[in-house]
Amino acid sequence: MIETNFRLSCTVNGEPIERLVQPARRLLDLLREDMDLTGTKPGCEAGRCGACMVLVDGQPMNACLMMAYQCEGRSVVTIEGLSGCGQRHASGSHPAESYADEPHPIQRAIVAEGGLQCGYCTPGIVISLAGLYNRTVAPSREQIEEALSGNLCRCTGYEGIIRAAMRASSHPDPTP
Amino acid sequence: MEWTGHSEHLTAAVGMTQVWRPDTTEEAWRLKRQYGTFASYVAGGTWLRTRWESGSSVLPPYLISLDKIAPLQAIQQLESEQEAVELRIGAAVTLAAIESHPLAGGAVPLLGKAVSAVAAPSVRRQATIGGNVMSRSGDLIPALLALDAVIVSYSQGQYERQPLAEWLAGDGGDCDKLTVGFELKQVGGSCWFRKIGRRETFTPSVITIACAYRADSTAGRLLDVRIAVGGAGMAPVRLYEAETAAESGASGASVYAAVRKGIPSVADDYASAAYRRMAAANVIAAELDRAASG
Repeated sequence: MIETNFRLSCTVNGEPIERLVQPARRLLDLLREDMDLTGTKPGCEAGRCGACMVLVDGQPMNACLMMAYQCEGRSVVTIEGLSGCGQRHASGSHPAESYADEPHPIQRAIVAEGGLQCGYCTPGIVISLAGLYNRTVAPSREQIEEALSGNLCRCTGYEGIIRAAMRASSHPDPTP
Repeated sequence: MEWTGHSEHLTAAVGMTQVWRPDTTEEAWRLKRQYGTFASYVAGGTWLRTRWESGSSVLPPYLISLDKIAPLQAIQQLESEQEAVELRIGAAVTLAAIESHPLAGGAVPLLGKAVSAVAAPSVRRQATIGGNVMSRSGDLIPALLALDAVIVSYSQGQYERQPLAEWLAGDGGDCDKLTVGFELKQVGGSCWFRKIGRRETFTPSVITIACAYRADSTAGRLLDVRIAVGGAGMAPVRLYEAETAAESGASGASVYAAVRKGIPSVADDYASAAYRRMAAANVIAAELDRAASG
């Protein structure tokens, strides 16, 4: 007899959550539809465009490919959590973590370098770069390109984004 | 037959998919036997998810997750009297774990190159070697074929080892076996891995090529040449005739012809069979010619 739902226990943007959810529900739907965290964007929904990228245990992952049960006990950080908005930042050692109530340094660098146009892919790109900066303080261009290899941007041609990534590592305050 | 094991059972609402998370291979296999075609094994689930989303298959009533079965998450060095490293890689090991493991991506460079060429880093953190191979068209397959990998499966209390090439030649219809891992040996010498596609990422490759060889610089010859190809819609194969031609010191034209002959004739909306053959032959003949001339 089937009566109970799966009780997911994990953290989202630093806050512990426990909620009944279908175990095979996509993390993307859990975030957007159940938690109103709409900064995580649906795109290709097949793990190719990177618009839905979130940090899971500090590493960029595609929310469209992850199922709820796969998030059990893990830390999920969305763009809303990364940029402050009154919530705690993901764990990590990069100096970016100290800007609790401001946009993440990657976000400020993207604004400074014109690394966006329509903006739809931008949350995913910021997450991918934040994940890179969690692991590498001063990444090379090659490392930046590899980190962005799962993110599609049809507007910018990527150069502005790569400049922003370089700026974030070379400027203590990347604000324009 | 009623399930009486100790798996963690995650249940959703009536009519929704249920997820079992067994702790052992035996439990997983028994669950699959119990539910038959109403259940699917799942590890990372990246390939399955794309199939469900595209409508190629339907999310089944039961998923049997392999994520809590410890041996399926492990990379082990097997005891061997040979100098070359012999490995067993669990079917649920992620591509990212293989990429960064000193005994896998490190000690077996062809595997390392192949793994790092699959999808994006974020997908590789979730996708597994088992899923890539079970798709029967994954880009790791040519590399594993070139390495003479063996597939290890479990059924009814028995483990069975079968050459990957032999497994691929079958129809894949044996649902009573659970793939638990892959065994392979380190191959000395040089190697390369190429994916030829319409663009660098985000699309399936038109053709994927894995090649390993040893160069005898004094004799100007290539030894132990291994070439395997795969790609979207094409059954991966070893190119044995081309390997023999390259080892015998035959002309580039002979290697070129042998490659063309060995590529299965498969076309889709984006690449004709002739284009696939030509592209593969151009790349392989040029690379081997470069290697032979030192």
